[in-house]
Amino acid sequence: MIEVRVGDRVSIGEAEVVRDSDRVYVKDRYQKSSYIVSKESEVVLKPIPPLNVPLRITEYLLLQFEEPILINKNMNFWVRAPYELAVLADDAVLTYLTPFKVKHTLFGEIIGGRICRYFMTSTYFRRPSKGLEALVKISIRAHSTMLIDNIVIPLNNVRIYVSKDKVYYNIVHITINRGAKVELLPEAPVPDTTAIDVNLSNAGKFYRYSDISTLLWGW
Amino acid sequence: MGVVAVSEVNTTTSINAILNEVVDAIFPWNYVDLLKFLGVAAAIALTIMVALGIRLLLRRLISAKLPRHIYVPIERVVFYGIIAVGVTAALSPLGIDLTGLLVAGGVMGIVVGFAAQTVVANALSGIFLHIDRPLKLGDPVQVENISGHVIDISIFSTKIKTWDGNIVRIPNDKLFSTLITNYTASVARRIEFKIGISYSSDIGKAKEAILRVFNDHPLVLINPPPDVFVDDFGDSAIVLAVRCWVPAPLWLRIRKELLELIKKAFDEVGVEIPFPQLDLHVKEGVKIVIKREKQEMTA
Repeated sequence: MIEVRVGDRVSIGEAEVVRDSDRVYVKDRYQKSSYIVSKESEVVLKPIPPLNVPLRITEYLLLQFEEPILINKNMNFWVRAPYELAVLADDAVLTYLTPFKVKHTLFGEIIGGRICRYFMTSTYFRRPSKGLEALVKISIRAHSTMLIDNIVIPLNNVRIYVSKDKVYYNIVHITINRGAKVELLPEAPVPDTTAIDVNLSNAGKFYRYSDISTLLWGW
Repeated sequence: MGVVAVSEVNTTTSINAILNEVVDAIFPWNYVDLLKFLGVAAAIALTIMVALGIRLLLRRLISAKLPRHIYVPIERVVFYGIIAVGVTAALSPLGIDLTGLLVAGGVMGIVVGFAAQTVVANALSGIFLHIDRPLKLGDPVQVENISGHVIDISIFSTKIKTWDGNIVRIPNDKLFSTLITNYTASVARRIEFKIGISYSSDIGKAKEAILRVFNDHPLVLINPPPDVFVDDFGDSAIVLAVRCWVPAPLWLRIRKELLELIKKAFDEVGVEIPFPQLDLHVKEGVKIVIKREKQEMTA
Protein backbone atom coordinates (compact mmCIF):
# COMPACT_ATOMS: atom_id res chain seq x y z
CA MET A 1 0.00 0.00 0.00
CA ILE A 2 1.43 3.36 -1.04
CA GLU A 3 0.13 6.68 0.20
CA VAL A 4 0.04 9.57 -2.27
CA ARG A 5 0.32 12.92 -0.51
CA VAL A 6 -0.23 16.37 -1.96
CA GLY A 7 2.68 17.14 -4.28
CA ASP A 8 3.66 13.47 -4.74
CA ARG A 9 4.32 11.77 -8.06
CA VAL A 10 4.26 7.98 -7.82
CA SER A 11 5.27 5.75 -10.73
CA ILE A 12 4.99 1.97 -10.68
CA GLY A 13 5.82 0.44 -14.02
CA GLU A 14 3.58 2.17 -16.55
CA ALA A 15 1.16 3.47 -13.91
CA GLU A 16 1.58 6.99 -12.66
CA VAL A 17 -0.30 8.99 -10.03
CA VAL A 18 0.28 12.68 -9.45
CA ARG A 19 -1.43 14.69 -6.74
CA ASP A 20 -1.67 18.42 -6.33
CA SER A 21 -3.68 20.43 -3.86
CA ASP A 22 -7.10 19.70 -5.35
CA ARG A 23 -6.71 16.98 -7.96
CA VAL A 24 -5.38 13.48 -8.49
CA TYR A 25 -4.07 12.77 -11.99
CA VAL A 26 -3.76 9.12 -13.00
CA LYS A 27 -2.51 7.46 -16.14
CA ASP A 28 -1.28 4.18 -17.50
CA ARG A 29 -0.87 2.71 -20.98
CA TYR A 30 -4.64 2.54 -21.49
CA GLN A 31 -6.13 5.57 -19.77
CA LYS A 32 -5.56 9.04 -18.47
CA SER A 33 -7.93 10.89 -16.17
CA SER A 34 -8.15 13.23 -13.24
CA TYR A 35 -10.31 13.47 -10.11
CA ILE A 36 -11.10 16.35 -7.83
CA VAL A 37 -10.04 15.31 -4.36
CA SER A 38 -9.66 17.63 -1.40
CA LYS A 39 -6.27 17.87 0.17
CA GLU A 40 -7.60 16.47 3.44
CA SER A 41 -8.48 13.17 1.77
CA GLU A 42 -6.21 10.18 2.09
CA VAL A 43 -5.19 8.81 -1.32
CA VAL A 44 -3.58 5.38 -1.45
CA LEU A 45 -2.63 2.79 -4.05
CA LYS A 46 -3.37 -0.84 -3.25
CA PRO A 47 -2.37 -3.83 -5.40
CA ILE A 48 -5.32 -6.00 -6.43
CA PRO A 49 -5.80 -8.97 -8.83
CA PRO A 50 -5.59 -7.93 -12.51
CA LEU A 51 -9.25 -7.96 -13.47
CA ASN A 52 -10.28 -4.47 -14.49
CA VAL A 53 -7.95 -2.82 -16.99
CA PRO A 54 -8.81 -2.03 -19.73
CA LEU A 55 -12.10 -3.87 -19.24
CA ARG A 56 -13.36 -6.54 -16.92
CA ILE A 57 -13.89 -9.33 -19.44
CA THR A 58 -12.50 -12.37 -17.70
CA GLU A 59 -11.84 -13.81 -14.27
CA TYR A 60 -9.01 -16.06 -15.34
CA LEU A 61 -5.29 -15.49 -15.68
CA LEU A 62 -3.20 -17.70 -17.96
CA LEU A 63 0.45 -17.69 -16.99
CA GLN A 64 2.48 -18.82 -19.98
CA PHE A 65 5.90 -20.22 -19.09
CA GLU A 66 8.80 -19.16 -21.27
CA GLU A 67 10.04 -22.74 -21.14
CA PRO A 68 7.92 -25.83 -20.54
CA ILE A 69 8.50 -27.61 -17.23
CA LEU A 70 8.73 -31.34 -16.77
CA ILE A 71 6.71 -32.12 -13.67
CA ASN A 72 7.91 -35.16 -11.84
CA LYS A 73 5.56 -36.11 -9.02
CA ASN A 74 5.91 -33.08 -6.77
CA MET A 75 7.41 -29.74 -7.59
CA ASN A 76 7.46 -26.21 -6.17
CA PHE A 77 8.53 -23.18 -8.14
CA TRP A 78 7.94 -19.44 -8.48
CA VAL A 79 6.52 -17.45 -11.38
CA ARG A 80 5.78 -13.80 -11.98
CA ALA A 81 2.25 -12.46 -12.40
CA PRO A 82 0.62 -9.09 -13.06
CA TYR A 83 -1.47 -7.07 -10.65
CA GLU A 84 -3.40 -3.82 -10.81
CA LEU A 85 -3.44 -0.81 -8.56
CA ALA A 86 -6.67 0.39 -7.05
CA VAL A 87 -6.52 4.14 -6.54
CA LEU A 88 -8.51 4.88 -3.39
CA ALA A 89 -9.47 8.18 -1.84
CA ASP A 90 -10.83 7.82 1.69
CA ASP A 91 -11.52 4.11 0.93
CA ALA A 92 -13.58 4.90 -2.20
CA VAL A 93 -12.15 3.47 -5.41
CA LEU A 94 -11.42 6.19 -7.97
CA THR A 95 -10.06 3.92 -10.67
CA TYR A 96 -7.71 1.07 -11.43
CA LEU A 97 -4.33 1.31 -13.09
CA THR A 98 -2.07 -1.31 -14.54
CA PRO A 99 1.69 -1.10 -14.28
CA PHE A 100 1.98 -3.72 -17.04
CA LYS A 101 1.06 -4.25 -20.66
CA VAL A 102 -2.23 -6.17 -20.90
CA LYS A 103 -2.93 -9.02 -23.29
CA HIS A 104 -5.60 -11.67 -23.48
CA THR A 105 -5.76 -15.13 -24.98
CA LEU A 106 -8.19 -17.95 -25.62
CA PHE A 107 -7.83 -21.06 -23.48
CA GLY A 108 -9.58 -24.04 -25.03
CA GLU A 109 -11.86 -24.01 -28.03
CA ILE A 110 -13.66 -21.08 -29.62
CA ILE A 111 -16.94 -22.60 -28.48
CA GLY A 112 -16.80 -23.54 -24.81
CA GLY A 113 -13.34 -22.13 -24.17
CA ARG A 114 -12.43 -19.20 -21.95
CA ILE A 115 -10.94 -15.82 -22.58
CA CYS A 116 -8.05 -15.36 -20.14
CA ARG A 117 -5.77 -12.53 -19.16
CA TYR A 118 -2.35 -13.51 -20.56
CA PHE A 119 1.05 -13.08 -19.00
CA MET A 120 4.36 -14.56 -20.09
CA THR A 121 6.67 -15.46 -17.24
CA SER A 122 9.93 -17.15 -16.45
CA THR A 123 9.97 -19.87 -13.81
CA TYR A 124 12.29 -19.89 -10.83
CA PHE A 125 13.20 -22.52 -8.30
CA ARG A 126 14.34 -19.81 -5.89
CA ARG A 127 12.27 -16.79 -5.06
CA PRO A 128 13.47 -13.96 -7.31
CA SER A 129 14.42 -10.82 -5.46
CA LYS A 130 14.16 -8.31 -8.28
CA GLY A 131 11.32 -7.32 -10.57
CA LEU A 132 8.15 -5.30 -10.41
CA GLU A 133 5.70 -8.14 -10.95
CA ALA A 134 3.91 -10.08 -8.24
CA LEU A 135 5.42 -13.41 -7.25
CA VAL A 136 3.39 -16.60 -7.22
CA LYS A 137 4.45 -19.77 -5.52
CA ILE A 138 3.22 -22.79 -7.47
CA SER A 139 3.02 -26.12 -5.75
CA ILE A 140 2.27 -29.03 -8.08
CA ARG A 141 1.39 -32.59 -7.17
CA ALA A 142 1.28 -34.78 -10.26
CA HIS A 143 0.34 -38.45 -10.38
CA SER A 144 2.63 -39.02 -13.34
CA THR A 145 5.44 -37.27 -15.17
CA MET A 146 4.23 -34.61 -17.55
CA LEU A 147 5.20 -31.45 -19.37
CA ILE A 148 3.32 -28.23 -18.74
CA ASP A 149 3.82 -24.80 -20.27
CA ASN A 150 1.02 -22.79 -18.70
CA ILE A 151 -1.40 -22.63 -15.81
CA VAL A 152 -4.78 -20.95 -15.50
CA ILE A 153 -5.61 -19.25 -12.21
CA PRO A 154 -9.12 -18.13 -11.20
CA LEU A 155 -8.48 -14.52 -10.21
CA ASN A 156 -11.57 -14.24 -8.03
CA ASN A 157 -9.86 -16.46 -5.49
CA VAL A 158 -6.58 -14.59 -5.54
CA ARG A 159 -5.59 -12.71 -2.44
CA ILE A 160 -2.80 -10.20 -2.62
CA TYR A 161 -0.11 -9.92 0.04
CA VAL A 162 2.58 -7.28 0.26
CA SER A 163 5.91 -7.23 2.03
CA LYS A 164 8.21 -4.24 2.25
CA ASP A 165 9.03 -4.22 -1.46
CA LYS A 166 7.23 -7.13 -3.11
CA VAL A 167 3.70 -8.17 -4.04
CA TYR A 168 2.60 -11.80 -3.71
CA TYR A 169 -0.36 -13.94 -4.66
CA ASN A 170 -1.49 -16.61 -2.22
CA ILE A 171 -0.03 -20.06 -2.83
CA VAL A 172 -1.36 -21.84 -5.92
CA HIS A 173 -1.69 -25.56 -5.39
CA ILE A 174 -2.24 -27.72 -8.46
CA THR A 175 -3.11 -31.40 -8.39
CA ILE A 176 -2.71 -33.12 -11.74
CA ASN A 177 -4.40 -36.45 -12.10
CA ARG A 178 -6.66 -36.97 -15.09
CA GLY A 179 -7.31 -33.24 -15.17
CA ALA A 180 -5.75 -30.34 -13.34
CA LYS A 181 -7.33 -29.03 -10.17
CA VAL A 182 -6.20 -25.54 -9.20
CA GLU A 183 -6.64 -24.38 -5.61
CA LEU A 184 -5.55 -21.11 -4.11
CA LEU A 185 -4.54 -21.79 -0.56
CA PRO A 186 -5.54 -19.07 1.90
CA GLU A 187 -2.00 -18.40 3.06
CA ALA A 188 0.85 -16.11 2.17
CA PRO A 189 3.81 -17.74 0.42
CA VAL A 190 6.34 -16.01 2.67
CA PRO A 191 6.27 -14.73 6.25
CA ASP A 192 6.08 -11.05 7.21
CA THR A 193 3.51 -10.03 4.64
CA THR A 194 0.26 -8.12 4.96
CA ALA A 195 -2.95 -9.16 3.22
CA ILE A 196 -4.49 -6.39 1.13
CA ASP A 197 -8.20 -5.87 1.59
CA VAL A 198 -10.02 -3.57 -0.76
CA ASN A 199 -13.73 -2.98 -0.58
CA LEU A 200 -14.66 -2.99 -4.26
CA SER A 201 -18.41 -2.79 -3.77
CA ASN A 202 -18.59 0.87 -4.82
CA ALA A 203 -15.84 0.66 -7.44
CA GLY A 204 -16.44 2.71 -10.57
CA LYS A 205 -19.99 3.57 -9.59
CA PHE A 206 -21.35 6.92 -10.61
CA TYR A 207 -24.73 8.38 -9.85
CA ARG A 208 -27.31 7.03 -12.21
CA TYR A 209 -30.68 8.46 -13.21
CA SER A 210 -32.56 7.14 -10.23
CA ASP A 211 -30.06 8.74 -7.90
CA ILE A 212 -30.21 12.00 -9.83
CA SER A 213 -34.01 11.90 -9.63
CA THR A 214 -33.72 11.49 -5.90
CA LEU A 215 -31.45 14.50 -5.75
CA LEU A 216 -33.80 16.54 -7.95
CA TRP A 217 -36.72 15.62 -5.73
CA GLY A 218 -34.97 17.28 -2.85
CA TRP A 219 -34.60 20.62 -4.62
CA MET B 1 -92.72 -85.14 8.25
CA GLY B 2 -93.44 -84.81 4.54
CA VAL B 3 -95.79 -81.86 5.02
CA VAL B 4 -93.41 -80.25 7.36
CA ALA B 5 -90.56 -80.62 4.83
CA VAL B 6 -92.59 -79.02 2.03
CA SER B 7 -93.56 -76.19 4.29
CA GLU B 8 -89.87 -75.55 5.25
CA VAL B 9 -88.90 -75.50 1.60
CA ASN B 10 -91.62 -73.01 0.74
CA THR B 11 -90.63 -70.81 3.64
CA THR B 12 -86.96 -70.87 2.63
CA THR B 13 -87.86 -70.09 -1.00
CA SER B 14 -90.01 -67.17 -0.04
CA ILE B 15 -87.31 -65.77 2.26
CA ASN B 16 -84.81 -66.09 -0.53
CA ALA B 17 -87.18 -64.35 -2.90
CA ILE B 18 -87.72 -61.50 -0.46
CA LEU B 19 -84.00 -61.13 0.15
CA ASN B 20 -83.37 -61.12 -3.58
CA GLU B 21 -85.96 -58.39 -4.04
CA VAL B 22 -84.42 -56.36 -1.26
CA VAL B 23 -80.91 -56.78 -2.69
CA ASP B 24 -82.19 -55.97 -6.19
CA ALA B 25 -83.87 -52.88 -4.81
CA ILE B 26 -80.69 -51.71 -3.09
CA PHE B 27 -78.20 -52.84 -5.79
CA PRO B 28 -80.07 -52.90 -9.09
CA TRP B 29 -77.06 -54.52 -10.89
CA ASN B 30 -76.00 -58.03 -11.49
CA TYR B 31 -72.48 -59.37 -11.04
CA VAL B 32 -71.59 -58.60 -14.62
CA ASP B 33 -72.58 -54.99 -14.16
CA LEU B 34 -70.62 -54.86 -10.93
CA LEU B 35 -67.55 -56.17 -12.69
CA LYS B 36 -68.04 -53.55 -15.39
CA PHE B 37 -68.14 -50.84 -12.72
CA LEU B 38 -65.00 -52.15 -11.12
CA GLY B 39 -63.30 -52.30 -14.53
CA VAL B 40 -64.29 -48.71 -15.28
CA ALA B 41 -63.06 -47.53 -11.90
CA ALA B 42 -59.78 -49.36 -12.41
CA ALA B 43 -59.39 -47.89 -15.90
CA ILE B 44 -60.03 -44.36 -14.61
CA ALA B 45 -57.57 -44.91 -11.78
CA LEU B 46 -55.03 -46.21 -14.28
CA THR B 47 -55.63 -43.19 -16.53
CA ILE B 48 -54.99 -40.83 -13.62
CA MET B 49 -51.85 -42.71 -12.68
CA VAL B 50 -50.57 -42.59 -16.26
CA ALA B 51 -51.36 -38.86 -16.45
CA LEU B 52 -49.54 -38.24 -13.16
CA GLY B 53 -46.58 -40.31 -14.38
CA ILE B 54 -46.36 -38.39 -17.64
CA ARG B 55 -46.62 -35.10 -15.74
CA LEU B 56 -43.74 -36.18 -13.52
CA LEU B 57 -41.72 -37.16 -16.58
CA LEU B 58 -42.41 -33.80 -18.22
CA ARG B 59 -41.35 -31.99 -15.08
CA ARG B 60 -38.09 -33.88 -14.94
CA LEU B 61 -37.28 -33.68 -18.64
CA ILE B 62 -38.39 -30.29 -19.89
CA SER B 63 -39.57 -28.08 -17.06
CA ALA B 64 -36.02 -26.86 -16.41
CA LYS B 65 -35.51 -26.07 -20.09
CA LEU B 66 -38.63 -23.96 -20.52
CA PRO B 67 -39.73 -20.77 -18.81
CA ARG B 68 -42.54 -21.32 -16.33
CA HIS B 69 -45.10 -19.36 -18.33
CA ILE B 70 -44.57 -21.71 -21.26
CA TYR B 71 -44.17 -24.95 -19.36
CA VAL B 72 -47.28 -24.72 -17.16
CA PRO B 73 -49.84 -24.54 -20.04
CA ILE B 74 -48.11 -27.45 -21.79
CA GLU B 75 -48.26 -29.54 -18.65
CA ARG B 76 -51.93 -28.78 -18.13
CA VAL B 77 -52.90 -29.56 -21.73
CA VAL B 78 -51.07 -32.89 -21.62
CA PHE B 79 -52.36 -33.86 -18.15
CA TYR B 80 -56.01 -33.03 -18.72
CA GLY B 81 -55.90 -34.33 -22.32
CA ILE B 82 -54.79 -37.76 -21.12
CA ILE B 83 -57.46 -37.80 -18.42
CA ALA B 84 -60.19 -36.74 -20.85
CA VAL B 85 -59.29 -39.40 -23.41
CA GLY B 86 -58.81 -42.07 -20.73
CA VAL B 87 -62.09 -41.34 -18.93
CA THR B 88 -63.98 -41.27 -22.23
CA ALA B 89 -62.58 -44.65 -23.21
CA ALA B 90 -63.17 -46.07 -19.72
CA LEU B 91 -66.85 -45.11 -19.64
CA SER B 92 -67.78 -46.84 -22.90
CA PRO B 93 -68.43 -50.33 -21.30
CA LEU B 94 -71.20 -48.76 -19.23
CA GLY B 95 -73.04 -47.73 -22.34
CA ILE B 96 -72.17 -44.09 -21.89
CA ASP B 97 -71.43 -43.30 -25.48
CA LEU B 98 -69.25 -40.23 -25.88
CA THR B 99 -68.54 -40.95 -29.54
CA GLY B 100 -70.80 -38.11 -30.58
CA LEU B 101 -69.01 -35.77 -28.26
CA LEU B 102 -65.65 -36.95 -29.58
CA VAL B 103 -66.77 -36.54 -33.19
CA ALA B 104 -68.08 -33.08 -32.43
CA GLY B 105 -64.86 -32.31 -30.63
CA GLY B 106 -62.87 -33.65 -33.55
CA VAL B 107 -64.76 -31.55 -36.06
CA MET B 108 -64.41 -28.56 -33.78
CA GLY B 109 -60.72 -29.33 -33.47
CA ILE B 110 -60.29 -29.40 -37.24
CA VAL B 111 -62.13 -26.10 -37.61
CA VAL B 112 -60.12 -24.48 -34.82
CA GLY B 113 -56.95 -26.11 -36.12
CA PHE B 114 -57.39 -24.56 -39.56
CA ALA B 115 -58.26 -21.22 -38.04
CA ALA B 116 -55.39 -21.30 -35.57
CA GLN B 117 -52.84 -23.05 -37.77
CA THR B 118 -50.37 -20.20 -37.60
CA VAL B 119 -50.88 -19.71 -33.89
CA VAL B 120 -50.25 -23.38 -33.19
CA ALA B 121 -47.23 -23.43 -35.49
CA ASN B 122 -45.82 -20.39 -33.69
CA ALA B 123 -46.48 -21.93 -30.28
CA LEU B 124 -44.84 -25.23 -31.22
CA SER B 125 -41.88 -23.40 -32.74
CA GLY B 126 -41.64 -21.32 -29.56
CA ILE B 127 -41.45 -24.49 -27.48
CA PHE B 128 -38.76 -25.95 -29.73
CA LEU B 129 -36.84 -22.67 -29.66
CA HIS B 130 -36.83 -22.83 -25.87
CA ILE B 131 -35.56 -26.40 -25.96
CA ASP B 132 -33.03 -25.87 -28.76
CA ARG B 133 -31.94 -22.42 -27.51
CA PRO B 134 -30.30 -21.05 -30.66
CA LEU B 135 -30.53 -17.60 -29.05
CA LYS B 136 -30.90 -16.18 -25.57
CA LEU B 137 -32.07 -12.88 -24.15
CA GLY B 138 -29.46 -10.21 -24.80
CA ASP B 139 -27.64 -12.11 -27.55
CA PRO B 140 -26.54 -10.05 -30.55
CA VAL B 141 -27.97 -11.94 -33.52
CA GLN B 142 -28.78 -11.73 -37.18
CA VAL B 143 -32.02 -13.32 -38.36
CA GLU B 144 -32.19 -13.12 -42.14
CA ASN B 145 -31.47 -9.44 -42.74
CA ILE B 146 -32.42 -8.23 -39.26
CA SER B 147 -29.59 -7.63 -36.82
CA GLY B 148 -29.78 -6.59 -33.21
CA HIS B 149 -30.14 -7.77 -29.63
CA VAL B 150 -32.77 -10.29 -28.55
CA ILE B 151 -35.00 -8.56 -26.02
CA ASP B 152 -37.88 -11.03 -25.66
CA ILE B 153 -38.64 -14.66 -26.49
CA SER B 154 -42.29 -15.52 -25.89
CA ILE B 155 -44.31 -18.56 -26.86
CA PHE B 156 -45.51 -16.98 -30.13
CA SER B 157 -42.83 -14.53 -31.18
CA THR B 158 -39.33 -13.23 -30.60
CA LYS B 159 -38.50 -9.55 -30.41
CA ILE B 160 -35.23 -8.10 -31.62
CA LYS B 161 -34.07 -4.57 -30.93
CA THR B 162 -32.15 -3.58 -34.05
CA TRP B 163 -28.88 -1.67 -33.84
CA ASP B 164 -30.71 1.52 -34.75
CA GLY B 165 -33.25 1.07 -31.97
CA ASN B 166 -36.30 -0.37 -33.73
CA ILE B 167 -38.17 -3.32 -32.24
CA VAL B 168 -38.80 -6.11 -34.75
CA ARG B 169 -41.24 -8.90 -33.87
CA ILE B 170 -40.51 -12.18 -35.62
CA PRO B 171 -43.11 -14.99 -35.45
CA ASN B 172 -41.52 -18.08 -33.94
CA ASP B 173 -42.40 -20.39 -36.84
CA LYS B 174 -40.50 -18.09 -39.19
CA LEU B 175 -37.60 -17.83 -36.77
CA PHE B 176 -37.46 -21.58 -36.33
CA SER B 177 -37.12 -22.24 -40.05
CA THR B 178 -34.70 -19.46 -40.90
CA LEU B 179 -30.95 -18.96 -40.65
CA ILE B 180 -29.88 -17.49 -37.32
CA THR B 181 -26.41 -16.08 -36.75
CA ASN B 182 -25.63 -15.75 -33.06
CA TYR B 183 -22.62 -13.53 -32.57
CA THR B 184 -21.92 -14.53 -28.97
CA ALA B 185 -22.36 -18.28 -29.09
CA SER B 186 -18.58 -18.45 -29.30
CA VAL B 187 -16.30 -16.77 -26.80
CA ALA B 188 -14.00 -15.41 -29.51
CA ARG B 189 -14.71 -14.01 -32.94
CA ARG B 190 -12.45 -13.25 -35.88
CA ILE B 191 -11.98 -9.78 -37.30
CA GLU B 192 -11.02 -9.75 -40.96
CA PHE B 193 -10.43 -6.89 -43.29
CA LYS B 194 -8.54 -6.20 -46.48
CA ILE B 195 -6.18 -3.29 -46.80
CA GLY B 196 -4.69 -2.09 -50.08
CA ILE B 197 -1.19 -0.64 -50.01
CA SER B 198 0.51 1.02 -52.96
CA TYR B 199 2.86 -1.00 -55.17
CA SER B 200 5.68 1.29 -54.13
CA SER B 201 5.19 0.54 -50.43
CA ASP B 202 7.24 -2.02 -48.53
CA ILE B 203 5.10 -5.08 -47.83
CA GLY B 204 7.31 -6.12 -44.93
CA LYS B 205 6.97 -2.74 -43.25
CA ALA B 206 3.21 -2.81 -43.71
CA LYS B 207 2.92 -6.29 -42.19
CA GLU B 208 5.16 -5.32 -39.28
CA ALA B 209 3.11 -2.20 -38.60
CA ILE B 210 -0.15 -4.18 -38.55
CA LEU B 211 1.27 -6.90 -36.30
CA ARG B 212 2.63 -4.24 -33.95
CA VAL B 213 -0.85 -2.73 -33.68
CA PHE B 214 -2.25 -6.17 -32.87
CA ASN B 215 0.48 -6.81 -30.33
CA ASP B 216 -0.12 -3.48 -28.58
CA HIS B 217 -3.90 -3.83 -28.44
CA PRO B 218 -4.87 -5.43 -25.11
CA LEU B 219 -7.94 -7.19 -26.47
CA VAL B 220 -6.49 -8.78 -29.61
CA LEU B 221 -5.95 -12.36 -28.56
CA ILE B 222 -2.52 -13.99 -28.47
CA ASN B 223 -4.11 -17.32 -29.33
CA PRO B 224 -5.48 -17.92 -31.98
CA PRO B 225 -2.64 -15.87 -33.41
CA PRO B 226 -3.23 -12.94 -35.74
CA ASP B 227 -2.33 -13.28 -39.40
CA VAL B 228 -1.38 -10.84 -42.17
CA PHE B 229 -0.65 -11.92 -45.73
CA VAL B 230 -0.76 -10.71 -49.32
CA ASP B 231 -4.16 -11.68 -50.59
CA ASP B 232 -4.23 -10.19 -54.07
CA PHE B 233 -2.49 -7.95 -56.54
CA GLY B 234 -5.26 -5.51 -57.30
CA ASP B 235 -5.59 -2.91 -60.04
CA SER B 236 -4.34 -0.11 -57.83
CA ALA B 237 -2.97 -1.80 -54.75
CA ILE B 238 -1.37 -4.83 -53.17
CA VAL B 239 -4.20 -6.22 -51.08
CA LEU B 240 -3.27 -7.45 -47.61
CA ALA B 241 -5.66 -9.76 -45.77
CA VAL B 242 -5.60 -9.02 -42.05
CA ARG B 243 -7.06 -11.38 -39.49
CA CYS B 244 -7.15 -11.50 -35.73
CA TRP B 245 -9.34 -12.93 -32.98
CA VAL B 246 -11.01 -10.90 -30.25
CA PRO B 247 -13.54 -11.52 -27.44
CA ALA B 248 -16.88 -11.92 -29.24
CA PRO B 249 -18.88 -9.29 -27.33
CA LEU B 250 -16.29 -6.62 -28.15
CA TRP B 251 -15.92 -7.44 -31.84
CA LEU B 252 -17.33 -4.23 -33.32
CA ARG B 253 -15.63 -1.91 -30.86
CA ILE B 254 -12.21 -3.48 -31.41
CA ARG B 255 -12.66 -3.56 -35.18
CA LYS B 256 -13.30 0.18 -35.24
CA GLU B 257 -10.26 0.85 -33.05
CA LEU B 258 -7.97 -1.36 -35.12
CA LEU B 259 -8.80 0.31 -38.42
CA GLU B 260 -7.83 3.71 -37.04
CA LEU B 261 -4.71 2.40 -35.36
CA ILE B 262 -3.54 0.66 -38.55
CA LYS B 263 -3.97 3.87 -40.56
CA LYS B 264 -1.90 5.74 -37.96
CA ALA B 265 0.75 3.01 -37.98
CA PHE B 266 0.95 3.15 -41.81
CA ASP B 267 1.39 6.91 -41.67
CA GLU B 268 4.23 6.52 -39.18
CA VAL B 269 6.20 4.03 -41.30
CA GLY B 270 5.35 5.62 -44.64
CA VAL B 271 3.13 2.93 -46.07
CA GLU B 272 0.71 4.43 -48.55
CA ILE B 273 -2.93 3.44 -49.02
CA PRO B 274 -3.42 4.40 -52.69
CA PHE B 275 -6.31 5.95 -54.55
CA PRO B 276 -7.66 3.95 -57.47
CA GLN B 277 -5.29 4.39 -60.43
CA LEU B 278 -5.66 3.85 -64.15
CA ASP B 279 -2.73 3.86 -66.56
CA LEU B 280 -3.67 4.86 -70.13
CA HIS B 281 -1.42 3.68 -72.95
CA VAL B 282 -2.09 5.42 -76.27
CA LYS B 283 -0.89 3.40 -79.25
CA GLU B 284 -0.88 6.16 -81.86
CA GLY B 285 0.33 9.68 -81.39
CA VAL B 286 -2.34 12.04 -80.27
CA LYS B 287 -2.12 15.76 -80.68
CA ILE B 288 -2.79 17.45 -77.39
CA VAL B 289 -3.46 21.14 -77.54
CA ILE B 290 -2.68 23.04 -74.40
CA LYS B 291 -4.29 26.42 -74.22
CA ARG B 292 -2.98 28.89 -71.74
CA GLU B 293 -5.26 31.73 -70.83
CA LYS B 294 -3.93 34.96 -69.53
CA GLN B 295 -4.89 35.53 -65.99
CA GLU B 296 -5.76 39.04 -65.14
CA MET B 297 -4.01 40.16 -62.11
CA THR B 298 -6.22 41.96 -59.73
CA ALA B 299 -5.06 44.17 -56.99
